[in-house]
Amino acid sequence: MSTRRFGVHRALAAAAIVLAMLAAIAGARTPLAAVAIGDGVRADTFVARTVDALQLAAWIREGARDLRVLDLRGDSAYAVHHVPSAEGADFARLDTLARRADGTVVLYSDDDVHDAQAWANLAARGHRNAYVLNGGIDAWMAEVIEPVLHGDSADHVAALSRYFGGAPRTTDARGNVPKPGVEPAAAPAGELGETRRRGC
Amino acid sequence: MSAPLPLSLAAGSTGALVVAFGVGLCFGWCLERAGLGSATKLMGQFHLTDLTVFKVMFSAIVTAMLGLFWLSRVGVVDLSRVYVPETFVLPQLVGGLVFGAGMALAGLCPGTSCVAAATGRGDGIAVAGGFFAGVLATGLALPAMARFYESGARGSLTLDTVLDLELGTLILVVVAAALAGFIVAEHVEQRSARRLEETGR
Repeated sequence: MSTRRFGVHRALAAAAIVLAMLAAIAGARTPLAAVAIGDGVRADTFVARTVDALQLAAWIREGARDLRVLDLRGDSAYAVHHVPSAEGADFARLDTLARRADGTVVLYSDDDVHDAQAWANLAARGHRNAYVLNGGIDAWMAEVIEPVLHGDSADHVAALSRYFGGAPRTTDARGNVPKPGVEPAAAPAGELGETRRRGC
Repeated sequence: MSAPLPLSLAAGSTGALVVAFGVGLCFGWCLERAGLGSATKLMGQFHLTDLTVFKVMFSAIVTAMLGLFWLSRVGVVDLSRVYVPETFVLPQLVGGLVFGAGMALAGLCPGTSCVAAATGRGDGIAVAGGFFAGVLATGLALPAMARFYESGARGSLTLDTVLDLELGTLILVVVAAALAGFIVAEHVEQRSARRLEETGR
């Protein structure tokens, strides 16, 4: 019995080493599967397409047709706050969406896992216009609801933020960013004067 | 690592759960048949008298590695769609130490404690209850330690990228190391058995 078991062990070990040697010969650095995911889309293109929070805000504001925004965080988190026009959704709902593979779908969650998995689920079912909100709900809050204005896009961002009831912030004379909901502290007269001179 | 998405696509969410339950049952059965439902068996690992745990776990790693690699090569499994958990260096190092200490104290790990509990062993029920309580306590305390929990993020790391090896080469190295480990484990066990016989125990 013991000898027979030893023989089985040796056979399995030999099979493992042969398969491993063949793997070393055949192995590629990134063994992406040859599995085609409908319409000839290969697995190696299976990286979630993302959309920035500001772009999503612009789409919603423009009333983009056939846009659906899906919140994957669960009912309680959705009830606290969510992206305007977003619908609470779960994975079961994706099946219905996938059958209606038209329109643009934006998915978001509060981690980098659920939205990416949901995106992959939709993409695998042939949905071609699905996006993951880059940075999730946190990015929406930081970039749209409480953005820090700077650069040439400040006016555009401020307008978008106010459209969604946000409170855009600007840096004070010291370069500090006020906390959300707090007005920037008045800068000392001298520094303000210098700022004005630079502005002139 | 969780199952590739096509499983949930083909079977639906409920179907995927049913499949996962079935896989879990098979895994538990294999653990029990390998004797890993016994804390004594696991403690043999630490006393170097019974290295079954090492052999079972390395066998599982080798089987999974070879299986996934070749299934992906023939187009059945898409490795790019297998979720690889992210690496958080310090939190996982600390978690590993806590896990190891708990395993040495209890003689069981979460999977084997479930197996032990399923076979009616009191220690298994105690350990399973303990780790469920620990999971609950950790979940409740998570907001307080969120900063530590998310520190040292390195993204999804795999051995082939860390070691800058081709996947096939890495598999050969791991399989060779496992087989060498099995041979050493057999020698260690035989030496321990001889020593026990000599001491008359």
